[in-house]
Amino acid sequence: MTAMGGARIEISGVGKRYAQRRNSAHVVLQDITLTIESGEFVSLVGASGCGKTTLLRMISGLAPYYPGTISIDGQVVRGVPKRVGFVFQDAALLPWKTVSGNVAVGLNEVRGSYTRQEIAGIVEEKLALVGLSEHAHKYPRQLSGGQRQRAGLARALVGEPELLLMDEPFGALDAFTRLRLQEELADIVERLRTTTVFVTHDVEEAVFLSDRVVAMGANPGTVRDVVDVDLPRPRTSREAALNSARGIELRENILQLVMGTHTDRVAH
Amino acid sequence: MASEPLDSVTVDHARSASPVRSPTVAAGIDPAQRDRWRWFQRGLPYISVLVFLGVWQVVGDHIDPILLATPVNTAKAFWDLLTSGQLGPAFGSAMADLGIGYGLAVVVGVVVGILMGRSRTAERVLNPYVNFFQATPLIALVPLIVIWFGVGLEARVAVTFMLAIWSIIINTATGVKETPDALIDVGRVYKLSRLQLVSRVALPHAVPSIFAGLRIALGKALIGMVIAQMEVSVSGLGGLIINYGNAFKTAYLLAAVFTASLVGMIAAALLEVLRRWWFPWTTNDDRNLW
Ligand SMILES: Nc1ncnc2c1ncn2[C@@H]1O[C@H](COP(=O)(O)OP(=O)(O)OP(=O)(O)O)[C@@H](O)[C@H]1O
Ligand SMILES: [Mg+2]
Repeated sequence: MTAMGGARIEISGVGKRYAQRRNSAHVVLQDITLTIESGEFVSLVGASGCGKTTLLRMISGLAPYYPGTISIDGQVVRGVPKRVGFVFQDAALLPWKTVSGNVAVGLNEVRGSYTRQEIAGIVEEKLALVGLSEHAHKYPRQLSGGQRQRAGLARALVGEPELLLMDEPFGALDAFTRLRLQEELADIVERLRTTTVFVTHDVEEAVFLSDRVVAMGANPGTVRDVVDVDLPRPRTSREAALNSARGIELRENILQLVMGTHTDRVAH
Repeated sequence: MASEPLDSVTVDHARSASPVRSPTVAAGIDPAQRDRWRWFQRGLPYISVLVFLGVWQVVGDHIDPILLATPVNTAKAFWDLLTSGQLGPAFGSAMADLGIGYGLAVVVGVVVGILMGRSRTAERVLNPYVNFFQATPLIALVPLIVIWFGVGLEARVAVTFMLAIWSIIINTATGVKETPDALIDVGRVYKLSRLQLVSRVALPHAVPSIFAGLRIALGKALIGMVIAQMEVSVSGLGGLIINYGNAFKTAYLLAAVFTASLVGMIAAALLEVLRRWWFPWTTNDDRNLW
C-alpha cells in the first residue's frame, strides 16, 4: 500500500476573497502561482493572517469557488482529492473518539483493504511514532495541546497519503519533541516521497525539511519569493544540514524575507 | 523570532497555574472542626427535608385534614394504595403512557431535528411550525386531540408526544447546526459520505445538546401524561389524583402525586444512565488523584 511518488500540484492565478461588510470584500490571497512537483516538500512561511491556511484548504478542495485553477496530477481540483492527509492547525480531533479512534479516521478512505486487526496494528504503529501509545484510550479533552497536535499528525500519516498538507504541525510542541518529529518527518518523506505542503513559522524547521521555501507577503497574500533549499539529501543530521555554510546562508535569506513580509504588514 | 510569542504564552501559563491556597486552610482552622463543618454541609439537604416534614406534620395535625394531610397519613395512604392493588397498575399505566409518548417524541424529534440542522430548506419550511407550537400553551389543544384520537391510549400518547417533541427538535437542530466547520472539514478530508458526515460527525457533536433537550422534554412529557390521565381518560396516576381529589381524600391525592414524581425521577435517572453508558465522553469524571 505504499504510494510511491506523490501528487503534482499546479496552482495558477489563484485568489481568494471573503465578504466583509455590505459591498466590501477582504482580499486574502491574490494571484498565487506555484507548481509543486511530485514528491517535493514545500514550506510556506509568512506573517500570521497572510492566507497560508486558506491556501492549504483550497488545495485540499475544502474551500471551493475562487478565480484561477488548482490541479493535482493534471486534474482540476473539484472536491477533496484522493489520498490527502491534512494536519489541521488546531488539531481538530473528534471529541467523542479516543485517540486511537481519531487516528483510525485517517484510514477511512482505504479501510476496505485492511482487516480490523490490521487497522489496529497500523494505528498503534503511528501512535508509537508520535509517542502517544500510552494515551491511546484517552479522549481529546484529556490531552495536552501538544499531544492533540501529535494525534492529528498521526491521523494524517496513517493512510500513507499521496499529498500531505500540514498546517503548523509542530507549533505547540516542546523543543525536544519538535526536533524528534522533524527528523521522523524528514525520514518519512524521504522514504515515501509524499508531496508535502508544510506551513511553519520556524525558519530552521523549514530549511531542514524543505526542497523549497515559499515566502508569502501579506495583505493581500502573495508569493513573495521562492527559495531553493539545495542542501543534499538524505539530510541525516539536522545539525550538519543547518550549520553547513549553505545552511546558514539559506536561513539568513529566508529570515530576511520573512522579516520583510512582517515589516511590510506593519507598514500597511 | 516566531517562537517568541509562544514562549511568553508558556510562561504566562506557568504563572497562572501556581497553587491557590484555599481560604479555609489559610485561616488555620483546626481540621476536626473543618471535617464536622463539611459533614454538616453534606447532610444539609436531608436535614432540610426532615425539618420540612416535621413542620408539615405539626401544622397538618392542627388543621382540617381535607386542606392538608400530614406526612404520616400520606405515607399510610400510600401503603394502603399499594397493598389494595391500586397503585401498581396506576404506576404501570403512567410508565406506559410516558414511555410510548416520550419514546415516539424522541425518535421523531431527533430525526426532524437532524433534518432541520443539516438542510437550510428543511429549516425554512419547518421553522414556522416549531416556533408556533413552542409558543402555544399546548394544553389548550387537549380537547382537539380528544376529538381526533378519542379517549383511549392513543389520545394520552398523543398529548404526551405533543408536549415533548418541540424541545427535542429545537435542541437537536441547534446541536447539529453548531458542528464546528473544522470537524466537518476533517470528515470531508477523510472521505466520509454525506450521510456519514451526519451520522459520524454532526450527530455525535449534537449529543450533549440533544440530551439537554431530552431532559427538558421529559419534564413536559410528564405534565402531558398526567394531564391526559386526568382529563382525557380518567386512568392511571392522573386518574387516582382526580378521583381522590374529588372525594376530598387529600392524603391519597398526595400519595398519588408523590408517585407521579417518582415516575419522573426514575425516567430522569434512566436517561442519565443511558447517557453515561452510551456516551461516556460526555461525562468528565476523571478522577483527580491528588
Ligand atoms: N471564513 C472566513 N471568513 C472571513 N475571513 C476569513 C475566513 N477565513 C480566513 N479569513 C481571513 O483570511 C485571512 C487569512 O487567514 P488564514 O487562516 O489563511 O491565515 P494564516 O496565514 O493561516 O495565519 P496564521 O499563521 O495565523 O495561521 C485572515 O485575515 C482571516 O481573517
Ligand atoms: Mg493558519
